Amino acid sequence: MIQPQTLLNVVDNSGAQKLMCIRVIGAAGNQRYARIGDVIVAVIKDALPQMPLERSKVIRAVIVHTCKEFKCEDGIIIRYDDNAAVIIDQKGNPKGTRVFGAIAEELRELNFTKIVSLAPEVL
Amino acid sequence: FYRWRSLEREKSGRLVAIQRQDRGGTSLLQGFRVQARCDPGRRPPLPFVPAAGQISCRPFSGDPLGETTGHRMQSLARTVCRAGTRGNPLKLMDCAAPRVEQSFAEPLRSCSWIRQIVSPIIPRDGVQAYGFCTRALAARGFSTVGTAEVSVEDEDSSSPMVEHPPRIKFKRPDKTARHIMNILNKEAVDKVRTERTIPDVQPGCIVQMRVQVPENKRRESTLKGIVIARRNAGIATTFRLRRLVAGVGVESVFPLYSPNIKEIKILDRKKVRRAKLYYLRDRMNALKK
Repeated sequence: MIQPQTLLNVVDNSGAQKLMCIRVIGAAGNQRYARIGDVIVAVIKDALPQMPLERSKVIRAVIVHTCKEFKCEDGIIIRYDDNAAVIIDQKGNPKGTRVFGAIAEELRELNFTKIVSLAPEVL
Repeated sequence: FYRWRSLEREKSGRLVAIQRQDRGGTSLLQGFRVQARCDPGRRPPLPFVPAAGQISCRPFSGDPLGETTGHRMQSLARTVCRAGTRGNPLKLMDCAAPRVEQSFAEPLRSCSWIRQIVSPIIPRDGVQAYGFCTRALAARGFSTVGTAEVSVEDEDSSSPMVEHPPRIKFKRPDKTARHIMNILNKEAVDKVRTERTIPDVQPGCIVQMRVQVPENKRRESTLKGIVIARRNAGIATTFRLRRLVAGVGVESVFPLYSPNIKEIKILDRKKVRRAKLYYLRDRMNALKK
């Protein structure tokens, strides 16, 4: 349940560390929350120095971890301990070259196959 | 409704014969008196139970097995004697009812004698609404329209002798439905348990399990973690597994009887004093991977 003003971790090596969500793509009237697999517009709040991505830059990201439970179709419910996202470009390709953490299998169906293939562990 | 007129009285004042008049016609009944109590403000019930063998009084010609009999059934059903004692009037009704359907293998109690009363309907005999008092069963939320339809399909193998069906208590239908759901749930659980052995996972167990994801790939992943909660719900019993995945804590809820879980192995049991170990979320130190 990510909404504007939510702080998210970044789990790739694009240079940013923390994002703040400012908009959920596809939400009507800003009423909807973002779940795993939704794209958000975020601003970088914290970044590593000397990297292509800098602080206070507006980028898009896809959510990969939520503290809110995510229900899979086979009855398994997954809940992470933190909220995290992977920075993507307009087409959906990740900006970084590595992804950390476990990625849910459902991202594959949402056309984020590149992220899933880079993941060290797929849930 | 009906009207009755007392014809004969014994010396002691007990009613022994009444003349009844209702839609089917008048009839003469002999029987014995019933002590019936009723709440103040209600109509006093008929203190009379007709003796055995006098049920069918008049041919009820031309009445299709339809709403009228259904209506009768309802009024009949509503006359589970509102007398104070619940059991005795039913027993008396039992004596009074002439035909007991033996073919009903598992009759529910009230339904059984209702069916007994309905069976005279089948050969188009008149049915008397005994009308002891109203709204007994309706007050308990009992609906009898369904039973009237069911009993119509049964054969009319009636024996004139009075034989008591096995007495099964029939509570309200929602309680019965819940009972039936419990039985179904238990059957489903037993069925799964006979197929594979599922160990007793309790909170505090370190568990290793093999889960198969059948959607895209036929791969079996091995998960290892600590059970922090268990929720019992029959076939939908779930347990919550907490593990560290690539540096991030992940909690997953698995249905215990899911066919996707191929094997559960308990590695260790930790002594915990709680059913739900949510305090482990704040402690990330000693979690198993």
